[in-house]
This record gives sequence, C-alpha cells and structure tokens, in this order.
Amino acid sequence: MTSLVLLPPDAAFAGYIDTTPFWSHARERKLFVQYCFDTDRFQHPPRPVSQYTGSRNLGWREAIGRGRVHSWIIQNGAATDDRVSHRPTLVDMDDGFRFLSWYVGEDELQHGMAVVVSWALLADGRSWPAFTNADV
Amino acid sequence: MAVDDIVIVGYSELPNSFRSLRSVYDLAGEVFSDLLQYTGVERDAIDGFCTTASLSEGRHLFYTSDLAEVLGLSLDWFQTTNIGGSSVISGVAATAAALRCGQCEIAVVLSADAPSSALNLKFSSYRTQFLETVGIRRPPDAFGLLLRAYETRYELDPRALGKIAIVQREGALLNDNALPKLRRPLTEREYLEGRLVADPLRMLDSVMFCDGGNAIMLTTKRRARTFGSKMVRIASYSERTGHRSAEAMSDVLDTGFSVAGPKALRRAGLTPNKVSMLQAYDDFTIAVLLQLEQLGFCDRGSGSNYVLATDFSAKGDLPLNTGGGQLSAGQPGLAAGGLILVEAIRQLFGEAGARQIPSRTNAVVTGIGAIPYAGNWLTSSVMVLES
Repeated sequence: MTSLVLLPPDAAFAGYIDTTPFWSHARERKLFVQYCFDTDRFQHPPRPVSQYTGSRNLGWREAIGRGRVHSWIIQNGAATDDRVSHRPTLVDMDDGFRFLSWYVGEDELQHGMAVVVSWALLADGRSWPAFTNADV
Repeated sequence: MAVDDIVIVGYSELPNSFRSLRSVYDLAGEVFSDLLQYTGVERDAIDGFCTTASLSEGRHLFYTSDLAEVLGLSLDWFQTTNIGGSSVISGVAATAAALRCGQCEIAVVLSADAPSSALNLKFSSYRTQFLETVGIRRPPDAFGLLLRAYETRYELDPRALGKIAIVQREGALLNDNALPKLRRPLTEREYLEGRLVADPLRMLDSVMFCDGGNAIMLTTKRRARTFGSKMVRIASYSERTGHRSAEAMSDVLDTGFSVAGPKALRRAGLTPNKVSMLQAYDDFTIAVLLQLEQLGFCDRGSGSNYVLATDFSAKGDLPLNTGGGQLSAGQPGLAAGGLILVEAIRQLFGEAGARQIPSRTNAVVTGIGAIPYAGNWLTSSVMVLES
C-alpha cells in the first residue's frame, strides 16, 4: 500500500467527515471505500457511523471497482464542469454498495451491463472513478 | 396518532408568480393577512404558529423567528418544519398534536417561499464531493435515474406520464392561483415531443419554481363550533423517513409510501376505492405514478395501465391534483406542500368553483421530502382529511 498524502484544506472537504483515504488512494488509481468492520461490508457514500449498525467501527478498504449498471440518465444541457461525459450512471458494485459516477464511452447503456472503473482527472488535479464497459 | 378532535377552519393562498422580486416576509405577510380576513379571527387570538424553512432564506438560520416577530405574534407554541416537500403536512400534524395536548388553542400553519426570485442554498455533507462531482445537482437528475430504473423493470407507456401532466394542466386552467405562464392547454403531442432534460425525464415531467405562499388555521373542534365556520377534520397522518436506509442495495423503487400510505388509510378507516380525491405531491410525474402504486390504488408495476384506464378529472374516478398541482400551478419552493393541502381544503369546503368535485367526503394529501444518495426520497408523508 502506498503512503497516504494529506490533501490541502479545500472548501469541498470542509463540514463533513475525513474522506482523505478515498482521494489519496484515487491518485494511485485505487478505489478506497468506507468499510464497516462490525458487519464486514462496504458503505458509500461515507458516513460518520456505520449504515448497518450505527457504530463507529469504520475504516477504508480497497474495492474491486467492478459492477453492473443499475440506472443512468443522459443530460441535455450546456457542460459547466469538467466531466468527460454527461451520462451520470448508478452502478451496483460487485462489492455490495452503490456508486454514482458517469459513463465513459459511446456504447448504448443497458440495465445489468458490466462496467469497470476508468479513472478520470478533475480540473483541480484530483482523480475520480468513472466507469466504462468491462467487456472491451 | 388519531387527531380527530382537531379541525381546519380556514385557508388562504396567494396566486403563484414568476420572479415577483418580493421577499418571503412580504409574501408571508400578505397570505397571513388574507387568512385573518377569511376566518374573521383576530390576530391576537392566535397562540400557535408553525412555518416551514424557505429556499430563499436557506442560509438565514433565524428566518422563521424573524417571521414570527414581524407578523407581531405572541405565541405559546412555535415550530419550524424542514423536511422538504413534507414540511407543510408534517407541520400540520405537529400542530394538531400541540393543540390536542393544550399547548395552544388557535394555530396557524403558514409557508411562503420565492425561489424564482431568490435562491440561497448551500449544500455540504457528502453531496459536494460525491454528488456534485458527478453532476447530480438538481432534482430532475435524481428523478431521471428513478424513471429509468422504473422503465427498465416494468412496462411504462410515456403517454401515461403525459396523461398525468395533461389532466393536471386542465385543473390549472380553472385555477386563478396557478402560474399564469402555465395556464394554457397541454397536448399529448407537445408532451411527447418536449425536451428531454435528464433523458428519459422530460421537461414536462418536471415542476417550475415560482413564488407563492399559503396558510391554514387549526383549532379544536369545540372551539371551532364557536366560530360557526366550515370545518375539515384531520383523520390521520403517517410518515416514513429513511425507508430501508440501513440497506446498501435496497430497491430504489420501494418508497416510504408503501408503509405510510396503507397505515394512513387504515387509521382513517379508508380503502383506496373510498378516497374522494388525491392531492399528491407531484414534483415529477413519476413520483405520482409510484404513489398511485404504493398507496394501493393499483399493483406495483401496473401504474402505466392504471393511469391510462383511469379518469383523473374533477368529475372522474379519482380526482387528482385538481388545481393543477405543482406541475401545472407552479412549485412555490418549500410552500409547495401547502399548495396541494389548500386545494384539498378548498374542495372539502365546496369552494373550488368550476373544478369542484361532486362527491367530497375525504381527501388524501401527500408529501415528499428531500432526495438521498442513489435512492428515491427521504420522507414520504400521507394525511387524510375528512369533511
């Protein structure tokens, strides 16, 4: 495992819980997701307590980064951000949690379609897990 | 909670307006003054006050306290509700409970908002990092995901959602308080050819922000008799927040209405076929379809066929959002839950004019509050009123 790099204070990080493991591992193209040690399950988005039990016996673990498309939309409007796609997609991850990101590629999306994380770069230099077709 | 000794004795509502450039205080003052005039009750007799948060005053924590102050109220009970579109009816339920246990005797539930003139919102929690980054910023994005999930699982004829929009538009044509720019007929073709804002969700599946306000007065039945006014009884209220929130992979189409709906009807001694009218929280057409299923008007997955086979007009099988709902009267921010509540009271009082429904024994009014991560909505609330 690579050592953690603390990110500088940023407005986007203020006012919630410490999500540094997600962002620092993303730099290494690793999907780290909050983990409940009481139930041995991932949870997303991160929370101050376990979604399953309410306890704080939480940490972060690397997830497989594969899943299946649950739902998606096609946004029709001017791009006002640094996303590389305007297809926000909800994915049922193989590791047992749901993740919202966007889909990279030209394929027609289908419910149940296998997808895999494809790392994207945000304008401020952070890495972000997008999804692409797992069968290509 | 049975609250059968608490009644609504009056209502007031401002005409919805687009970019009125008026403050929430100004709108609230007007609708408050209108309520006093309607009921004939003196301001100083009011000892209970419940109001909602406001999108326009979203960053002003003491908005509701300032509002109570500038309305000149002297109160024994004061409450603010802030659960999105459930705020108004949950406030009515809280007020009924306060009246019932003697905290106050005459209470006003008032909400006003002006999001088309001033929108002062700030999000934090996980939203900034894990939703805004993805471009899930506005309600149509989340409801588009729900709509896609529905149409990939069940049969959904787009004409069914179009019918909800069109029948409500017919109500708005007869409602002087509906937003003027929406008071023109809507055709099925116009609906189907409309812009897809969050494909598969169409622009005409969605509400439009506007400015407005509404207020109602509640008291005990005993006290109301001394007013000699009309009365609507609060027969039941049920609410479900965070339905299945302890599950990571819950069914995104399973809403809290599947619990709160049957419970509210049972407590009121009603079955779906005995409901006189449905004033359903309608920020999106798909939300109405899901409620029809989960309140028990039809089976899950059969909403499309049910909608196409049912007459939802004021004189029909199940009158639906008879004043146009938010879809066609406009969504006055966090006052929107009161828009459909006031329409239910107006109908039960027999004051709905050209859109008056003939048989008016009860009304089901619902609320939807807040949009969680990758789910449907956080709060589902159902109130049953009886004349």
